[in-house]
Amino acid sequence: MSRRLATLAAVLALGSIMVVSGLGLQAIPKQDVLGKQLLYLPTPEILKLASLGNQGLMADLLYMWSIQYYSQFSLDEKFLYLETVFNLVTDLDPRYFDAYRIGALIMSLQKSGDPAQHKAAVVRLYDKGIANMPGSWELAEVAAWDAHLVLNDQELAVRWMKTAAERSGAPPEVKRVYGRWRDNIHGWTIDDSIAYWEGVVAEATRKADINLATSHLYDSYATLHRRSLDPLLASIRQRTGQCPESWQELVEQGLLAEVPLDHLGNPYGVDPSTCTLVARKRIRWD
Amino acid sequence: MRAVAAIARNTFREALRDRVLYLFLGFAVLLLVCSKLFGLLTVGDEGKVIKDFGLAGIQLFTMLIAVMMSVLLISREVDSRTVYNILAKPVRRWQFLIGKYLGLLATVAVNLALMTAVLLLVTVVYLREFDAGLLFAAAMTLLEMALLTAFATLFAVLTRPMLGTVFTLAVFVIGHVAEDIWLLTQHVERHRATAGRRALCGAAQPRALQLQGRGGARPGGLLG
Repeated sequence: MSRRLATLAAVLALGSIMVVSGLGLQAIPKQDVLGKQLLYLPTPEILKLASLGNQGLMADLLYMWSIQYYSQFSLDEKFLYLETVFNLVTDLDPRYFDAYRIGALIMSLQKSGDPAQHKAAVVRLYDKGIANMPGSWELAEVAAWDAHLVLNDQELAVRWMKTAAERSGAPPEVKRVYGRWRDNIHGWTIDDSIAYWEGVVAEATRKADINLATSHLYDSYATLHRRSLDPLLASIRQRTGQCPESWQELVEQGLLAEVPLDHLGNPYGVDPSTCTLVARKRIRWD
Repeated sequence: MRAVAAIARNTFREALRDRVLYLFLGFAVLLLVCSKLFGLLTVGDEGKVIKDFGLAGIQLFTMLIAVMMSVLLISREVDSRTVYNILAKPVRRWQFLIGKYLGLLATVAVNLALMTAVLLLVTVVYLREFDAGLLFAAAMTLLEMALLTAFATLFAVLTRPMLGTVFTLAVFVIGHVAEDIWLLTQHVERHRATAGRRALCGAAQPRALQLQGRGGARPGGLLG
């Protein structure tokens, strides 16, 4: 009996020591100052071997771990390996949409380090994903919006949106956004713009898509017409000292063969205050 | 052929009596818990995680069934000497083996079908989608398990249960890493060639320096 009691006491004493030691260890402030957890990350080749054919599962585990790890923004040093971690995930599963998206998001939001390097890393990750997922327009679209809204790089946004628009299955909205952005940055000639919008109109099947694309096509034609007709108005005002009230006046004076019409067949107007062409876009939306 | 079918049927029944099919219930519970847990942990497409876990679980469970049952069922027949009763009848040895193999394969296939049904049900309930690709994946897993069961049956005949299990698991691992090992050999070959070139250049270096010291021509072909 006494032996049993002694054993029990010894076990309890050992247990108490373990609990107290554990609490003491937990009380010591831990600092992952150099993101040392990341130093033990194996290479993609080793992880592929270890996964025994379940590379997608290995990528999932690593992705979920990385989300938890990078959710704490307290340590800047751990971000040194950010690109390595997401490269590892996407090497294991090259078609992991969320890994590209969330990885790029974390990279673009990190505070420490050189923003130019972060941006370059985001571009590399998205380019890798876009190359690895040739059948997906979605990732290119997400990348384009990130470039547009987060990175504030319109050239890059247009490049990625172009990729999205050119991929099969891309909806009309993506094609319209690409055309619109390209128009905004004056990234092509007006003839290219017209040719593009005519293509979008031809491809569209829904009434709303046709109308929206026609509206953009109208604007491109109006810009083209403005380029040739505004100088004419300017030269007349310079010569006569006043702006013509309508295009009909120019026809009557023999300066124009007929009243210029817009893309929808309606006559253009003249803005007397600025002496420029006025386009009145009227598209039936019903 | 009737002998093969009879042995296969009895092997399947024996596996059922061993409550092997309960494994699929374990898989179902595991998958449901994992789906909930990883749905909370991940950001983005939960469906991918659920499918990856489900397929990996199916592979693991069916592999365990294939390996353990193949080795145990045959060795049990030998240890309990019931195999003598069978072979005393007009049953050839190859018929016994093929019957055992087919019975085990049927057990694996039924388990696989049940687990795939659970995975499909989970995806339909959680994700509101029916992914026919999962059926294809399950079919390919069955093909893999058919091969593994054949190896397990072979090892069960040749060795003791423990060794048979180890050998079959080794075949499973080797089968999965074969391509990577082949790539590794290519990698090693490249490195060996580079190391050889370096060694050649390293050996040539003192000679080159000597020649330079004497005003001789530098053997750029080796050093360059």
